[in-house]
Formats: sequence, C-alpha cells, structure tokens
Amino acid sequence: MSGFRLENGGRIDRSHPFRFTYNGRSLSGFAGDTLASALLANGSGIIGRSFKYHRPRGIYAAGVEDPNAMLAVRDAHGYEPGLRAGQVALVDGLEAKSVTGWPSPDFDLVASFTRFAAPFMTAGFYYKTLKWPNWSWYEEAIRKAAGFGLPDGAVDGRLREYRHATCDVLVIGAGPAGLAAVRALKGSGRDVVLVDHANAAGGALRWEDADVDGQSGMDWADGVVSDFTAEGGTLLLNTFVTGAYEGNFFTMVESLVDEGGLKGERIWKLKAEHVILATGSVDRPLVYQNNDRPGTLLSSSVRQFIGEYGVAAGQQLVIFTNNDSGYLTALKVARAGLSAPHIIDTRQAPSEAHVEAARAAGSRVHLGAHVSNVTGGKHVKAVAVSGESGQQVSLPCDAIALAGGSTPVVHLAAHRGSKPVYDEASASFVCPTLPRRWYSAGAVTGARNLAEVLAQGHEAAQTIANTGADVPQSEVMLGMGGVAAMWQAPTGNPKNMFVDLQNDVKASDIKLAARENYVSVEHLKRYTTLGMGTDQGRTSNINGLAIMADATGRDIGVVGTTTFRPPYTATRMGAIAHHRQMDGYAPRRLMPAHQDHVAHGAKFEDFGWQRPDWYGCNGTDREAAIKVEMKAVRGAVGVFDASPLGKIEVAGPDARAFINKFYVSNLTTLKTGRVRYSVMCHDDGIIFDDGVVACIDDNLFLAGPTSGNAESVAAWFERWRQTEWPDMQVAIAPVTSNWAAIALAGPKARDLLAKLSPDFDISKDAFPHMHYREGNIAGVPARVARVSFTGELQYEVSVPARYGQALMQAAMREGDAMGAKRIGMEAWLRLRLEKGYLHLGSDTNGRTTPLDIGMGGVVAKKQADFLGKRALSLPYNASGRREELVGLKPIDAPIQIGGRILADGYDSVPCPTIGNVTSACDSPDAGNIAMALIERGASRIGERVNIYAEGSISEAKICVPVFVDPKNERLHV
Amino acid sequence: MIVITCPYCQEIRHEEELTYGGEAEIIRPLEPEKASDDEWTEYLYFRTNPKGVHQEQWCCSGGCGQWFKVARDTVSHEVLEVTTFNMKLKTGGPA
Amino acid sequence: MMLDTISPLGGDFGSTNALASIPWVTASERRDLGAVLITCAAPSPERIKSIGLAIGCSLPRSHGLVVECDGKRAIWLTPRSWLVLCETDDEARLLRSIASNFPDRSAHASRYSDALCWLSLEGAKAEELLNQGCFLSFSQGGLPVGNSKRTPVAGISAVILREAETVWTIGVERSRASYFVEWLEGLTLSGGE
Repeated sequence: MSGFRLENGGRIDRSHPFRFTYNGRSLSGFAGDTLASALLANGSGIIGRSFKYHRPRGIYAAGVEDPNAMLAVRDAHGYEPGLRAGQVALVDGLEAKSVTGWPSPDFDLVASFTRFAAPFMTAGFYYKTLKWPNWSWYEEAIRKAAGFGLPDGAVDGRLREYRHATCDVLVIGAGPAGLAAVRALKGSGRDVVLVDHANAAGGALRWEDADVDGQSGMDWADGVVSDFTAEGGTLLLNTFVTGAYEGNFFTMVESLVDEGGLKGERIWKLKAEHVILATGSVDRPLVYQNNDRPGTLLSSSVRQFIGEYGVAAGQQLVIFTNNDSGYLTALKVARAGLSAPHIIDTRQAPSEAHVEAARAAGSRVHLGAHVSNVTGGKHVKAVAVSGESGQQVSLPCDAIALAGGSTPVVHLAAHRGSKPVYDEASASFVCPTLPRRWYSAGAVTGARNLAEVLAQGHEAAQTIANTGADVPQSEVMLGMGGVAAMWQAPTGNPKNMFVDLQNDVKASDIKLAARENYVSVEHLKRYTTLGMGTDQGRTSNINGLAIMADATGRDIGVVGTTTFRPPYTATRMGAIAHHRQMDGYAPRRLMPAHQDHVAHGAKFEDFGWQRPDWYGCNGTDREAAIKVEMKAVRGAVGVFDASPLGKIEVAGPDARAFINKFYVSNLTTLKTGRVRYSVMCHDDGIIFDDGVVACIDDNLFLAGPTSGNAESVAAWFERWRQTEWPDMQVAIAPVTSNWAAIALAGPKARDLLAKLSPDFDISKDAFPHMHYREGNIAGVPARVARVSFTGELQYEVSVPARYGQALMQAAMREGDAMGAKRIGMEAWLRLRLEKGYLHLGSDTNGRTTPLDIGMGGVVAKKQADFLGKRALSLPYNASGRREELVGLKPIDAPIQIGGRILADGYDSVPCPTIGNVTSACDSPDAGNIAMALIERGASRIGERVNIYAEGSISEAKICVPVFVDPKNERLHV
Repeated sequence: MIVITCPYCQEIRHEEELTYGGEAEIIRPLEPEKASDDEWTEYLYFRTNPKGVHQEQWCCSGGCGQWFKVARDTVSHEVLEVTTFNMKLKTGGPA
Repeated sequence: MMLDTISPLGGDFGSTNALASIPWVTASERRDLGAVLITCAAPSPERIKSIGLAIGCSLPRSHGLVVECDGKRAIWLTPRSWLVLCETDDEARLLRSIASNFPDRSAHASRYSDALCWLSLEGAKAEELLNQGCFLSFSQGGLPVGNSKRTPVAGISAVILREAETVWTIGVERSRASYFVEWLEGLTLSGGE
C-alpha cells in the first residue's frame, strides 16, 4: 500500500489519463504505463496469492521476470486469463482481475487452509503423497488452491498473423549494446532486424541516468533509432524472441497493440546470417526470512518504475544489496526527491565513492549487515537488520529494494546448446562460447558499466562488417564492481525464506531435496518445482542452485544450470495455431459435384476429400440408406462420385518400360485401349498402392492410384525418374483434379451410359471388361474405363471437372426410371468386400506383400525387375509364416473389424495371436462377412478360428474371400 | 529449421516447402536378381547415420519438385553444400 | 444433351466473379483462363524450342520467368514441365498441335483448364495478404512484375503471378479452392487502415 505517482518524471504521457479497473475498483493511469506501473502508482499492495501457501504477494518487478503479478485482463479485443502485469501496456477501459486468492487476494480463505497444511507441503510433496498416505485426501483442496485464471470460453477477435523472413543481422535487444551495434552497422549495406520486447527502444537508457556521446542516453538512443529506420532497418518492438534453433532460425512473437489493447499477435519465423545477442540481464533478489512480503521489489525495477513511469515504490525505501548497484537505486530515489534512509550492504568494505555518494544523498549505510526478518503481514512495515556482531536493529520502512546481483539473459544462446558457465566476478552464469556467427554484447556478458556495454555492442557489429565507425563514449561516474555473493541470509528461518516466489520453493525445501539426495540440478527442479512456474524461474534459479551447491559442498559452476528450452515467454496457442483452427484446421478438398451431394443429404466423411459416406435421400438412417444403395448396385444401377481417384499421365518413348518398373504385374503386354489392375510396392516389397493402369497408346499410359495416394504416387514416380533412372525418356503429368469421375455400377450401367449419349460403341463386345475408351459423353470430352470395384458391370466416366456436377445430375435424371441411386463410400466399400477386393490400408498394413494377398502367381510370371521384387525373395518374406489375406464367415456371433485371431488351441485371453480382422460388414445378400490377415491363412481354408474383440470371443470359419458371384459372371455381362 | 536454396529453381525454400529423402548416394544395385540377400538388405536398410556431416537427399516439393543433394551437419543443422542430383557432393561422405 | 458447367467456386464459366467477401483487396475468380500442362520426356534445348513453335509461345528456361505471346503465357514449373495459360477455347487446339508434332510423346500436353482455380487479387494490401500464408517474401524484389512463383500458400500448393505492382493472379488446385477462399476471407491485417 505504499506505491504512488511522482509529481514529475517518467516517459508517461500525463496529458493522456486512462481509467482502468482492478478487481472492480476504478483506478487511473497514464498512456505509457504498464499495468504493473499503474497498479503500483495506485498503491495496490496485494495483487495475488502465492501458489502453494497463498501468501500475499505484490508487484515485484517491472517486467517479464515478475514471479507474482499474474492477472486476468480484458481489453477491447478480448480476454486473457494469465498475463504478467509488466507485459501489459495500459489502455483506457482495461479490466484487470487477480487470479489467485479466494474470495479475494486481500482476504483469502484458502490461505487459512494452507497455513495449516504448510508444514506438510515440502519438497517432493506430490511425489510423496501419490505414494503415501493418499493423494485423494488432498486433491480437492489443492486443485482449488492451485492454478491461475480461467479462460472465458469465448473466441476472441484478436488478429493472428505469420511472417517468414530472412536477414543478414539479427540484433536481439534494443538497449545500449544493441543500439551501439546497429549504429556501427550503419552504411554496411546489411539487412538488419532489431528486436526488443519493450514498446520503445533504449532499454535501460529509458530509465537510468546516463550520458552517451555528450547527450542524454535517451536522446542518443532516439538518434540511433531514427538513423537506423531511415536507412531501411527493421525495428520490431513489443516483440519477444521466443526461441533460437539450429541454423540461426528464430521464432518471435510480436504483440500488435492499439488504443484498445492487444489487437493481435504476429509470429515471425526468421532466419539470420549473424546474430548479436544483447538481451541484457535481470536483477536477482536476496534470500532472507519473509523476503516475499508485498512491498519488496527488485532494485533495478525500483529505478525503472521511477525513471520510466514516474512511480515510487514507497516513501521509506530500504535497500538490501551485495553489490554497487544498490547505491544507484539510492541515488535515483534521492534525485526523485524521495528518501532511501537505509542501505544494508552485506559487504564490509564497498567502494568509498559509492558509500560517500549514498551518504551525501541522505542514506545511512549499514556495512557487513543483512536483513534477518521482515515484519508486516500484508505489507512490509520494518526490517530486522543483523550486523556482524549479531546485534539486531529494527528499521521501519514501507518498501524494500533487493540488489542481489544480476542474471544475464542467456536463454537464447542456451537454446542452441551454449553452456552457461559460472563467472565468479559477476556471480552469474554467462555463455562465453556461442553458436557460429553469434556475438554477445552488454549485460548478457556480465558487463556492468555502460561504457563497456557500448563498446561490446560496437565491437560485435564491427566483427560482422567493419564500417570504421567510432565507438560511442560514456563517462563512468561510479564504476560498478563485482558482486559479493550472499545466497542466503546467515540468520533467520529457512522455512520462511522464499527462493522461487511463484512456486513457493523455500531455502528449506532445497536443503530437504539435498538431504533426500535429489542433488542433480534437473532433479532439484522437478522435486521442488524450483523454476517450473510460468516465470520460468528468472529470479529464482541461480539462488536456488547456489543454495544447493552450498548444501552439497560443491561449487556453483559444478552444480550448473537446468536446461533452457523455448519458448522464452508464454506464447498463446491461438497465435501458434493461426488459421489452423475450426474449419481451417486442415485444407479440405471438395469434389466438383459437392453442391449436388449436399443437396441430396450427403453425410460427409473426410477421406482427404469430403466424400459422402451415405446419402440422406436414400434413407433416414445410415444402415437403411446403405442397404438401399447396395441393393441399387446389385439390382439396378448406382451412381458414385469417384473424382478423387488418382489420374497420372505417364508419357514418352520410355513410358511403358518406366511404368513396368513400378507395378507387380507385367505391363509390357498391355495393349492399347486395355486396362490392367495391379499393386505397387516400395522396394522393400511392401504394398503401398493398388489401382488400374490404362494404355492410351504405346507411349502414353494413365495410372489410376487410390484417392489417398494420388499425390504420393506421382511424387514416387517422379523421384525414381529423377534419382535412379534420369536417362529414361519419360514425363509424369499428375492431372487428378482436372477430371471429375462418375462411376456407373450395376446390371443397368450400360443402359444408363447409353442414355448419356456416348459417341462411341459401348456394346458388350465393342467395349469389354478391362477396356478403356476416349470420346465424347453428352457432348464433352470423356475418358471411360470399364473396370469394377463392385463386381458389377461398371464404367468409370471422367469428364473435365467443370462438367462433373452436371454429369452426376444427368446420370441421376436419366437413371431415375431404372432405379438409379446415389452411392456413398460405405456402400461402395461393402460392395467390394462382398467380392473380396482388397481395400488398401484396411486389408493391407505396413507388412503386407503381394505374396500375402494371393498375387504370388502374378509376381512369379513377371520376368522384368520391378520395385519390391528382389525383396520378396528375402527370407522373412518367403518364410511361409506370413499373415495372408483370407475371408471369414461367422459361426456364432458377428465378426468385428479389428478383432484379433487367437493362436490355435486358445479360447481365452491373454494368449498369442496370429492375425486380425481387416474388414467386416453385414451384406444384404451374404449376411455377416469379413476379411482377415491370418498367419498361413491361404492354406487353412475351411478351418475354424477364435476371434477376440471388445471383451468377447467368437468363432469363425476361414474361407476364400469371395461372397458374391464367385464366377464373376456379373462383370462380363 | 532448414532453409535451402534449391539448385534447380534458385529459390530460398523453407523447411515446410522441402521434403527430406534420407541419405544420399544409396545406389540401387543394377542387377537386383544377382545381389545376395545381404547386399539387398544392406541397400534397403543400412545407413551411416553420422554425427556430423551427412550427405542427404532433399526435394523442393513445394516448388519445382526436383530432388537434389545436401551436405548437412547433423549436430548444428548447418547446410554445408547443395548440388543438383547428377553431381557428387564434395563435403562429407565415406572417410 | 447439354451439360452445364460449374466453376471451382460454384458459378458459371464465361465471366469473372467478384469475391466481395475477401477483405482489403478487390478479388475475383478468373473463369476465363484455360490451361494445358506441357511435359517433356527428354527436354533438350532443341525440343523445348520446337514445343514452343508447335504451340506458338516459347517456353521459359527457368523458374519465375513468364513468356507471354499471342494471348498465351508460358510458366516454368519444373525442368520438364510448363503451364501454358490460354483462352479456354484454345485448349483443344494446343492439345492437337502437340500430339501431332510429337507422336512419340517426347512432348505431351494434358488438359489442365479444370485442374486449377484462378483468383485475382488487386490492391495495395494484396501482397500483405499473401505474405501471411507464404514462405517466400514478395517484398524486397522477390517477385518482379510479370514473373511467377510456385510455393505453398496457407498450406496448399499455388502458382502466383504478379501481373502488375498490385495485381496478383493465384492458381490453386480446384478441389482446394473453397478452402483457400475461406482462408483469404479470414485474414486480418494489423497494418490495415
């Protein structure tokens, strides 16, 4: 309850006041505020409750590193249940709500439960409780206490965009180091992208008091930026680089913000030739008793709140530091007309200059001292300070600034596998070895003085392109020395010393993990949940592993860090999904006659294409309609949209020799105007497609792969042509989508085709089974194949796609008097099952060879080599213990698809199995029928097998897989 | 993320426009019937799988549909060399 | 018997059809474009030249170039295939011409007028729209006026022609046209007015 707005200062626009609400209370802020600065300015003390113990927590930091400030936010564009206050640009009318604490974070009833439960909820609580005594005793209460905001279930109106880009140099971070880099690249002709997560360039220059090249830091920064953009450089603000990947490829998320709030997000996929990592650092807290009380902030954030937003953390600020940067905060506070009455420095002898400057600014400096406790339950009231002698004094305060050293933001380098190495002088992990063509500059290297930061940025750029620019200068007023690490206050109760504020991991938890031998840093993380929160442990990881190092008597560098993984910040699923949601999830394909199918009540299934499974016009329910459709084909004529069937023209002097290399059947003898059915294998002998091939003339063949493989078979042909047989004179033209294909099947198919005015002879003798004709149908160019998937007289009529729907309608109109029906996929597949024709992918699997489906004779007859041939004589393919495709008839109960065939002699499970049911259905003519792949099945015709499916066992008889018209008389009518 | 300039259409192609085709220089024996079972299984299944430079096949499937050869470092993902399919890569290969 | 025609987006052929639902640009379905797919089994320079003579439009030798000649435009697809855009009525003549000049099918022409759906996008924002679904960058001189590129857009294969600075013609596979139009309709532009 201590923060307030200063009269002057900051980069906010005081002429643009905003109203916003926090938990229903109306508050005010200014343009340029973040939600965090506005809440602090309004004195909002408690903004949430901690994850495990529901302790009150306040604004802790100005940026993404804040472990506490998770809020649900609604703006003009939508609602988000868990945003970090420092990441949300304040807009007029914004509504923010706390997401933890019930009924409110100020008065939290759950806290009373957790206060009681706290002693039990130590490291490894979940692991232990799952084993003993009983997780379910705790589950309900914990689920209530845990988690953040709830989604509202609405689809928001935010924009989603993707961009792919490349650049010569990616500069990550537009602080002084990054700006020095782009300044040095001026005139280099390099295509540079400069990225920063803030809404303006400048980084720490936006709030620190520093001069560069004789100007104020911000004037210098503005000049560099305007030169950069004038030269055509790309400046991306509000943009987080979320991941770094192999090949200098980066993902970035750009927030698109307008006066209504977060309008949308743009995901960038960017590949950079060179990378300058200038990501800076975040401040680290110190660990002492009750170090989580509201009113406690990171020291650099206190400066940022003053300098950037004109917001003070309190009237009486106590600074607790182990390095020189704490003094900067004291000076900043004094310059803002505020008071920092006490600096508590863990060091005995810091630099005289710093101490004198602080004293001159009105601060009392306590050397060799530490904070041993804090009083004030909902907000800090006083700190207990212990000196060397063990004496304790109580100092009143309303805010505490913590300067425990800084943690370089090495995440992106670490994503690429750069190993963070412990640097004693800065007491932090840095990445001295970077990926190729990466350079680092600024605080991310551990640099602590502006002059050094600028020089490093400049140097990195000059390594990429030597433009001969001069190094930007900054006078060092108070040099920043090293950090005297104090990882945990020497006095105070470790059970109230918080290391990870988001996940409530305490110093005592880490020590318990060490005692229970979870000493590896990766185990420590998972056992205690240290750094596993949505803040990713930005402020906690280093302190935690240092305490672990201490507890196990190892060096910090030996303990090492956990693995850094993308994304650097939370990324919304919606932004990643982009258009791939709802109807846009997968590109859907429609057949030329789609509207006609819709008009006749088609129930669509996605087979890669939207295809009618059955037609509502044929019956009110699926089974009834399918029966009607099957009967029409067996008794009259069915009209089936076969448009997705693959159509690949293979042309050239070597076309025949070429295509003969792919199919199992011999195609050297295929005459003009004839069609042959065959299967195609990969070179390992496994079937991957089946279909018919038509010979249009000696140098032109039309391959008809299955619908699902239309594209992959064309690619398969093309690959072998290019890579293995580049000298063959052949070209491959995939033309599937140019043609609509309508199949007419049934005893009256010829009568119906005749009604469609073919301009060629379709009589039985002129156009026999397995023949192909080209001509005109109904006045338009047509390709007609007399082939059959149903066992009936069948024609597949292809016309240019624009006529597809009209041909479908004409066939139905002309066929009406004959009893023609539209046929859906399910009826079509059942009709073929009645004939025992295999359905690729159902009756074959990733192990099925032509030998297993009864094509051994065809294979044996073919002299020429074909893909897969040699593999068929490998021992495992010729073993005689293969699963072979056979028919099944039930004995006691209907057969179900997927049922397992039990090994001989077994009638209960578990037991060995010897195959499975691949297709099954009820046939109006043949009753319940099925096909199955069964070990040595072809030699077991007539034998009985047991089938296990969905909990029960039934008996069936193996048969030849033909259930209708075994003599194929209907094919040749 | 792989980005390769296709040696046929000269276009910078992102991974989503490319298809990976396994190790390069896997030659199908010219006379399969004369190959022993061991030779055939060697051709079908055995690959070098190196840590480091890998010679491999890629296809510009989103663009011009051509197969080409790439030397890629399997550790860093760096593309070291790209050639048309009729050429031998100079980088990597049997030591 | 006469069969009606239906365009990929469900309309009559013979006219262009405005697609008012696509934001930011003036969009229409180009139903006037016919096409043949030329493939060549042995693409020697001489044969490519003679194909050009047979169809009355020479074939470009590299990706991106579009040769325009006598109402036809030839687009390079692969080292041995080209898309020739023509008036729909011209399709049959081109097929016959190739068939009679190359009886051994060393060059081959396939009907292709119905394989693709052609969309025209016109407006300053058209490039931005395409960029959202595309890996290629069209800015930075990526696609000069008069050139073409082949690349996936919104996950489906497309041929893109830049007719003028702000005029684009995009061919997508017919069966996926309705998906593609819906994708365009759903696009949003952060940089919009």
